[in-house]
Amino acid sequence: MVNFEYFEPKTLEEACALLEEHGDEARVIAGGTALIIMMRQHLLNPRVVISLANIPDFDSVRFDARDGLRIGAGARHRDIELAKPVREHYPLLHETFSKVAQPRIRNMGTIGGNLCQGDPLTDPGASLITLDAEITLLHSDGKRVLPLEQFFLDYYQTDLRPGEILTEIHAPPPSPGMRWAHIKFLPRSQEDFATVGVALTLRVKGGLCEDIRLALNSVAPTIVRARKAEGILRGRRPEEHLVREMAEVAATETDPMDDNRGSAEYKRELVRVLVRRAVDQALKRSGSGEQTGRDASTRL
Amino acid sequence: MAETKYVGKTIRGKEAPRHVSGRGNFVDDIVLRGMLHAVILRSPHAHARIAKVDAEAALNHPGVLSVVTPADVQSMTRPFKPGRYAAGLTKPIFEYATAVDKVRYVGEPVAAVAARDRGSAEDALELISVDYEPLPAVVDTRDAMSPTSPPLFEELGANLAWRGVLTYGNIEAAFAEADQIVRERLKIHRYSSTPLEPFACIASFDASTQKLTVWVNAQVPEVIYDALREALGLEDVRVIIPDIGGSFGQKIHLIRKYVVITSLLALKSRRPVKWIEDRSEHMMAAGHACAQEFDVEAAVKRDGTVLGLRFKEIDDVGGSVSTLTIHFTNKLNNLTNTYKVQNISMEGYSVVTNKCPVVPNRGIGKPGMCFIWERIMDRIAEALSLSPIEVRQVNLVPPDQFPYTTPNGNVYDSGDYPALLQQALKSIGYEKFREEQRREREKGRLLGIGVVVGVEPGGRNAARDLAIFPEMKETPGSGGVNGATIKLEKNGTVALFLGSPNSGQSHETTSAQVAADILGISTEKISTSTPFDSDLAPWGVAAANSGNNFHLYDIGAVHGAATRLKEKILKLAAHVLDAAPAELTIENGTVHAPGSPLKKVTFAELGKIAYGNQALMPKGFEAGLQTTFYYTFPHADTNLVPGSDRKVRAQFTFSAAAHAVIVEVDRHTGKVHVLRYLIVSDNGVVINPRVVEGQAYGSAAHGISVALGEGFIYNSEGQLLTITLTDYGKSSTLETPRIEIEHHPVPSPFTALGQKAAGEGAAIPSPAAIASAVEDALRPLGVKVRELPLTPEAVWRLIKNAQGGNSKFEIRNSK
Amino acid sequence: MRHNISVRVNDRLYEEEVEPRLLLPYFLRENVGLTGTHVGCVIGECGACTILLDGKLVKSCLLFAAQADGKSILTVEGLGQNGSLHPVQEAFIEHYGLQCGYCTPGMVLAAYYLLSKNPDPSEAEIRVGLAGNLCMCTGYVQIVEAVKAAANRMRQA
Repeated sequence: MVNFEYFEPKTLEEACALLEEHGDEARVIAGGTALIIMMRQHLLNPRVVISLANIPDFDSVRFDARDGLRIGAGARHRDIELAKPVREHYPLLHETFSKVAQPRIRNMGTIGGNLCQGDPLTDPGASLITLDAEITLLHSDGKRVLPLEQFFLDYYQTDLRPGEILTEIHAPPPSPGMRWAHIKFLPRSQEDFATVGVALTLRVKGGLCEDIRLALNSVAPTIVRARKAEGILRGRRPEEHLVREMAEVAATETDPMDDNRGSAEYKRELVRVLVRRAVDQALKRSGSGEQTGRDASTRL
Repeated sequence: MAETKYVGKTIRGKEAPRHVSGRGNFVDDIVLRGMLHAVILRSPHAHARIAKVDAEAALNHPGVLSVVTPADVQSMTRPFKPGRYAAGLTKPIFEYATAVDKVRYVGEPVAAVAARDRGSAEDALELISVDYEPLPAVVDTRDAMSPTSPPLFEELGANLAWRGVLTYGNIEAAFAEADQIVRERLKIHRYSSTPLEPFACIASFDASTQKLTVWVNAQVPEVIYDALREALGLEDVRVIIPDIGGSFGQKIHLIRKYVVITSLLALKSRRPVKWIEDRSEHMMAAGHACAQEFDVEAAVKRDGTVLGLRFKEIDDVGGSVSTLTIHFTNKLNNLTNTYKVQNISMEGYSVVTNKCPVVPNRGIGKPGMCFIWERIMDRIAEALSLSPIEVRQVNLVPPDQFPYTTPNGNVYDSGDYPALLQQALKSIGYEKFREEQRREREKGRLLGIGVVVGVEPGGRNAARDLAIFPEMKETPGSGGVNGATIKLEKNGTVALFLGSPNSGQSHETTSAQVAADILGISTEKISTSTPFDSDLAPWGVAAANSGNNFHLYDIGAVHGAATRLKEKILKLAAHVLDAAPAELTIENGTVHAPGSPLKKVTFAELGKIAYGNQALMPKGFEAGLQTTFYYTFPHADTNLVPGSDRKVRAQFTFSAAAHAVIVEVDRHTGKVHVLRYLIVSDNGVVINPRVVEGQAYGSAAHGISVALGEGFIYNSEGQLLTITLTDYGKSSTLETPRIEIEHHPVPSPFTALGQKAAGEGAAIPSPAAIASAVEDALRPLGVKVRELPLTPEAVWRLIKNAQGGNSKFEIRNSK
Repeated sequence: MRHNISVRVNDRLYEEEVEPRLLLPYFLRENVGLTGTHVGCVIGECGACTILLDGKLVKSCLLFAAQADGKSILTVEGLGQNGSLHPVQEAFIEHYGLQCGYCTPGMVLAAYYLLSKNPDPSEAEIRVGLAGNLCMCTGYVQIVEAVKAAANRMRQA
């Protein structure tokens, strides 16, 4: 690994200033789980590393019934997984975060680091997208708020502009009666990224699917919001043939790669199978606010 | 002798206390004053010529004290002699510690740097510039078989580097007499047991005495010893082997290159040098188990009897000829498995490719042999409409025929294969499962069961390969030799020196148990020495850390040394107590004579006499209470060295096991869940049950993981895609099923205690067991399992592509 | 380019000057001199480097030593008290929850952490709790038994 200078700013303003000063040579580190690996493999060789560990209140998880959930970008996956408001009001997130790698990594990696890496293989982004999450990006010149869905541009490429730090993730208050499902298909190791990941939220009223969000990870250069697939079910009764159609359409919205997790063909098939299963699971849930443990069917 | 107090019991392990407290002594834990740190520059190309290497800038980098380039290696070292692993090589191909004019696999070592700290060494490594002329990579086995594929070794001309045939019995007659010929083609892939601790070595050269000392986590001291002497021309070499973090056959062969490189850095810098391998380096270049393709034919009678078996195998041995034929020759060890077939023919092809060279990973070719047998048995059952159990039962060697000589010259010492099979069927609830399977199929659940049997041979015979290569120039030796030394200290405790290194097989514990029973002393009073030190340890050609050899040679040596020591103790005690040796008894470190409770003497008192009181010793008594015993297998006669009939005792003892596994297959994703895995194992007399069970659990877990997806994947340019443990697919606690084991020991009449091997064990039948179960689950869909690994995608494709099957089954279960 | 850090390891304070790029397990092994923390893959996949950092189970190879500044670390050497072994360590010995010993320090700490959060885990919960620690030797069976036995012993104490 190359040698570098290490800074530990005490405020976000200081951190932004350092980032601006060192430009391309600098990288921000929160948990460090991804950054260290990339530095060891010489994929990234920053001369300056700016730690966000000492920034106060950077890892908070707060909930307000009208405002929703606000997560500091420095919050660790494990903290989010176990936070009371997450367990009570956002069971989809509790489930998703509990499946990120395993506890040792979850104790270290942060949600900010995860999202900024822009890795289409990771799970939290997909689930947050189905919750209509938005993010706050801070720069010395000011801040901007962006829907998370627009943040991911390509493999490992996000809309994080030079000098910007992702500071917060905001999910609106959960709608009553919202059902959800999360499926992460792991052929072998628990440590691995999903071969295919499916996150789904939907609201059913009077037997009709009132609204729906479907996001898929590991199936394209970025996380995919499968809008066409959503359109198949939105406003209609979730009957079996429609669910099948939805799954077929979802598969067409993906662009998976052949890699050692599987061929593109197999991944598309998994999308078909897992989207169907996700809808089934979501429909079986009685509504939001319900706490479920991880049942065997979600661990494939 | 008193009945065994320790052998047969699980006693508190002697190795464990240091490991649970973090006080293990691994190579990287050792620090020598003035030690430098080395890093190795490896080839990024699968196949290329090395045009130029310029290390000037690296040498001038601050903190760097020595650099080794291919030119240094060629001028300062001699190439390794092609040893028995390269048997069959017809042209001399010289292999040095690094690549010299060509690189033949990604990760092949090219150069090295030693510096004051690891960071400086890494920085300096970047400054070495190598000009490569890339060549087309030969990756696919079939391509390598073609005479027009770009040759890896110009001297050989083609990449088909060896072929040979060996036949026992009358194969033509067998096939002529058959009622049916059953055929199958099979494939297993490249994998590895990936020990958690990668290669590690420290080299220190004393110029004043010209003595080279190395600390290395190698399994076979002889390989290192010979490699250093051959390559560096040094006579005085000391090999120290401390705790090893897992080996499984990975740390025998290619590790010698790195010991030579590290030693060269030490020689050049005149400082001790330490080199610790990275995980990704280990995945790329430490060695793989061979990918093999088999073409199998069985000549069978209507009742399932196998009259003859014929197979052709193609071994992809990677980018070196130094392990050209090991996966083929090793099949002589379990050639006929547990079956009484009399006619068998094996044809082998070894191709070199631009991938990591193969090494003797756990099982070495024997999992392939067992896979051949157990898959063909299922195929025979299908062809003749018999149950897979019946077919096996008809062919098993009956228990009343032991010791049993196989057509290729093995003498199976003991075994009761029908009993193992019966017990497995009973414990897994075979009949009940079949009912459950029928019921569940109606509901669309795909459950399957596989039942297989396999021998686990043990105890090396160095002359084995002469059966295939009678013309070997270097005499490989014969049989096996290893020693042990036992010393009664003058305070009455016992020190035990083994002739082998160890890496977790509990050698210290089990040998203490054996010695304790013979000497009549508590195991707590016995201490065993690790590390292995070649200057001091009583070692021979069979010194290796492997369950395969330890159970025979080391236990035999400990038994012999302890027996001799006991005689000496009794001789001295008899003199002291004025009794006859035959009248004496030993209890808890005290020797008692009959007549009076006062007539006794402790080991400590005897020690004081033997080491310091000449007047009290009997006339002609050799002072001291220390014995060394070198063990060779006493029943090695017949076929020890093969004659013109090519028959040879490939190994000397034969454990065996029946494996039964139940799986469920998710037909939409192809994922396989192992619901139950049972082993009924015969390891002869078990010295320490938890140790033997641990070996079975570990080897089974690995075989299961291999069958279900772990493995190496190369792309068409010879780049290894699976260089991390996650990408490679290593199983954790969640993917590894619970494994059950039952003991069914059938003691060996040939070994000191009746013990047989436990080490490679369950790694041999387990891939076949999983294949059999998955095929059974997918039988209604017409699927045949011929290839490993059975990743979810592979299973999904089998289902997709299967012809026939029950289409009604498909529609009813659309989810 | 060196950084001053102050780290408490097994209740003892260490003040050292380190290069920012020094990874935490090497700090523990070389600067502090405790070699029980092992390196098996150095990219956070195998768990051999597992330690407790401010009471949380982490993979030390994914941390710079500098990130441990001001924090408190427990390594396997810190588990026993006054020369006697912790019940988890005893259970691993008794039930042969190890073979080569290389994964053992990390595995023992993971078991210790698991039992501190869940004193009566089922086999499934044990397997989940240890999922980040790879073992190449044992097939995990006897490790799980050791953890169960440790749980029983600790509940009775």
